[in-house]
Amino acid sequence: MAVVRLQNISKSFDRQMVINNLCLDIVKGEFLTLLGPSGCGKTTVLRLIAGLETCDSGTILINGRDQTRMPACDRDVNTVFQSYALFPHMNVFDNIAFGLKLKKIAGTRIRDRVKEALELVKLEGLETRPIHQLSGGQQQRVAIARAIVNRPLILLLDEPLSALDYKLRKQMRLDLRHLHRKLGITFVFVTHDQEEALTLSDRVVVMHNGCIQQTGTPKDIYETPVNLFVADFVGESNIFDAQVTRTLDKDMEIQIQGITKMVQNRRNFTKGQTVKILLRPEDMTVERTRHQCPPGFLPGQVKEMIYKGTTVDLLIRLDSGHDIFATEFFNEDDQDIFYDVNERVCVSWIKGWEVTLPHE
Amino acid sequence: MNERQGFKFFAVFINMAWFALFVLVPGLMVVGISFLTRDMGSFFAWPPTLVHYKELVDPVYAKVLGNSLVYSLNTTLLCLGIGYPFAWFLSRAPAYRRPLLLMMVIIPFWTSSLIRTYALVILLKANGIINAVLMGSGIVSEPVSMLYTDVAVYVGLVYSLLPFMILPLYAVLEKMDLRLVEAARDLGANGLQVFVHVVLPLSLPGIMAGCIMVFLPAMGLFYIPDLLGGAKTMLVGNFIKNQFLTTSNWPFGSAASVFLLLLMVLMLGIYFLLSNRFNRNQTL
Amino acid sequence: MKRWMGISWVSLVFAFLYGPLLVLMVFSFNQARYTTAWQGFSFTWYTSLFENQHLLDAFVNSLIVAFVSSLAATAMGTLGAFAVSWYRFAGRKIFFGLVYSVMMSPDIVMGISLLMLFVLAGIHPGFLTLLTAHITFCLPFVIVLVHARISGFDPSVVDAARDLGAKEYDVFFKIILPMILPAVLAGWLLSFTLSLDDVIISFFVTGPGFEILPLKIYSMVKLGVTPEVNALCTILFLLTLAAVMTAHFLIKEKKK
Repeated sequence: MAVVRLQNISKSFDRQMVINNLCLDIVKGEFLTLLGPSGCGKTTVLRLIAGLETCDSGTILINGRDQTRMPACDRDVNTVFQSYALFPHMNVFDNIAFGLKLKKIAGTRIRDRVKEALELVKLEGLETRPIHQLSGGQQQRVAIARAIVNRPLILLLDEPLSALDYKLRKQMRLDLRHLHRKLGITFVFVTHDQEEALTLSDRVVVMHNGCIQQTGTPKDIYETPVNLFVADFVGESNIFDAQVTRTLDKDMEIQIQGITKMVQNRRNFTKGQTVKILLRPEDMTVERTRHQCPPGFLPGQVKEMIYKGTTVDLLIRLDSGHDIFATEFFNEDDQDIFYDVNERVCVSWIKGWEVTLPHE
Repeated sequence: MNERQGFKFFAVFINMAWFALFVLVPGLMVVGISFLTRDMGSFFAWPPTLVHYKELVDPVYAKVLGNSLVYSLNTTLLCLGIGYPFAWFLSRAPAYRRPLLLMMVIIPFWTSSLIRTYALVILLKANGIINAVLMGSGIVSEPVSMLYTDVAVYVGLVYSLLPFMILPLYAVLEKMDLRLVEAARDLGANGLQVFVHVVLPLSLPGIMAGCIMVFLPAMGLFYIPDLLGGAKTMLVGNFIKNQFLTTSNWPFGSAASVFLLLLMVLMLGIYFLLSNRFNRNQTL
Repeated sequence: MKRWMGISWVSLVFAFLYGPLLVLMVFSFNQARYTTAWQGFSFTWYTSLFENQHLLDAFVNSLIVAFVSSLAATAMGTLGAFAVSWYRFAGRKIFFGLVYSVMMSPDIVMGISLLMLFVLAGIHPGFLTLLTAHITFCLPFVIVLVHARISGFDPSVVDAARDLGAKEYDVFFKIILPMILPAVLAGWLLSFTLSLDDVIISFFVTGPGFEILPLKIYSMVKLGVTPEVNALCTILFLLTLAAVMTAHFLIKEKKK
């Protein structure tokens, strides 16, 4: 059973539609990420679940009960805010104990639970520290402790890592995963950072303009995006227009950038249809040439070479004028992945690694 | 939600109502009465007239008013002359020392100007401390009369109002980006050119704010000429006070007050134009 | 060289600002009545001050007016600032326009306009008129101070409190009030000082039956200097000093 079910939710601010007829089930215990560019409505979805906003239409079921109109203070849901929103006039202990005190829990029990929460976020012994004496990372952990100490059904995290520096962010990702496994409660995480979404989540929901574009595992989202927006937003893609010239059993022949190539036909495209071919840079194969390219290869010229330590990124201008990116990995057998600028190359990919979408 | 609306309405309403009743209504009364005829029994009476405004520009009164304005104007210039370098040096003091120095400006800012004027009286009077020092050191043999002079009035006004000039100046100078000064120097400007082309224009809003905060009160501090200047010195404030308490000429006193209000509006207008221009410049 | 110039200019101005006050304080302890010559340390003028019933009455009157008016202005101003800055209020520009124009308008104009209002409304000048006037000129200071504090908040703090189970009542008393309390206290202290020190506006709105200290000092100084006034002014100055320093400390603390 879904721990949260959003049914046909809509929400407007100042007559501007922010959430448009959205439906989403959140499975108990999963780590779900809402991913999208700023202004796509992901934070609003979070605030609707928290009860900090009320929706214009639709219903919100939490644990099977209709809580659409229930105020935030009565919901069994807690939030870690983007700005942490720690109470500046209280110390660490009072911040974490705030929710428990409101629930009129006995003082000794509060002390134990605060201690336990601080251990979970690895901040033992900081109870009496004033908030302004904590580092950004520590404040982040107090904000998490303040939410999980209430043992909520669902923990909502609103871009909690965005204010941290790169190294700290990587560490916190690991800690969040660990915390999720340890607590066993549902995490709903909001971010605009696709890398964060892919590495953290059991399931990713990609949003755009108040609508869900795709829901799936990180692998699904990355490898089989359902539309151009998802493909473009999650990771980098080279996008080509192509024409289906012939269909076979499970394959089809397409005309792409002036050459003919066989690709898989997963969506029953028909002859004459215009399609988009999406290729990730790391799926491109690049070969040097002095002469003509073999059939099925696109001829081009290296325009830039960007060294990135474990990989080399190539910007290649195809002879058709189309610019593409290709990523080459270092490996034991082939050390020679450095190219000269203007060196002639042939580019292709292994059949089946492409994503084919209908022309939008 | 409704309860919240009600609370908000109530909280804003009592403040607005208070200002309306005790600022707006009396202010409109001042304007209204300034256009009515003087009346000995009921202070003012019908019919409407412009005579009090004509009187304001009549040579007899215009001279009095003009002289009063000169006091405020000179006070403002004196405060600016003393306060600007002071605020500059203060804003360039070591950061750890600035809070204390600033505190030392804020204390007189809040201290009763009457008490501070009184302290000056003690210092300046014939058997006061300055004369005692002067005579004791043999510089003069007779006490110099320092009280009840123009100089005493200026000393009193500057003494009372200097903190009001320093604080806004300090606020802009402290915020000023010193890299701008360095950039100007790097581009070949000498000390004077840096000041004229960079520091001065950037501190203009602070100068204007300081001038407003000195010029407007300087016209009203009627007790300073009373205590330090004898009867012959008059500020606009003394003039207005006399119309209300000595000659009971409400409409004329009101007309002079309207003149003050217009000056205030004019100065605030200039200030907002200046600061708007600066804000826009900053976003460019 | 430049550094030396700066230090001497700053010292000179501070000497100008504090010299007279220092002399005043020192002489309040001087035994002598008429001369400025030092005739030994004594508390004579302080004791005679406390035997002067007229002065004491005026002092008590001033304290009452200052206390009540600052309290009323703080309560009203805090509510107003809170409502205007917390809930998006459409007329906030008009509201702050009014606040700033009251703050900037010359004391003398406020004094005579209130005088006319009270005379025409037939209100006898005295305690009530004084109180009304003092609340009016203290109110903008409280509003500006409290508003500045509220706008320094992270608004999601309130969301966080609601999220953790706080009702409207808890939000106000456990979160917002403690957070703005320093500014409210500072506003109250500064209002108290303003009210205690005001001469110009009080001059027009008080009546003969209700004397307050600044006006009493004014009339005494006009008649001639007495050492009791030295003592009185010293006490008033120290009161202001304590209030301003406390207020300053309260406002500054938030910046940590």
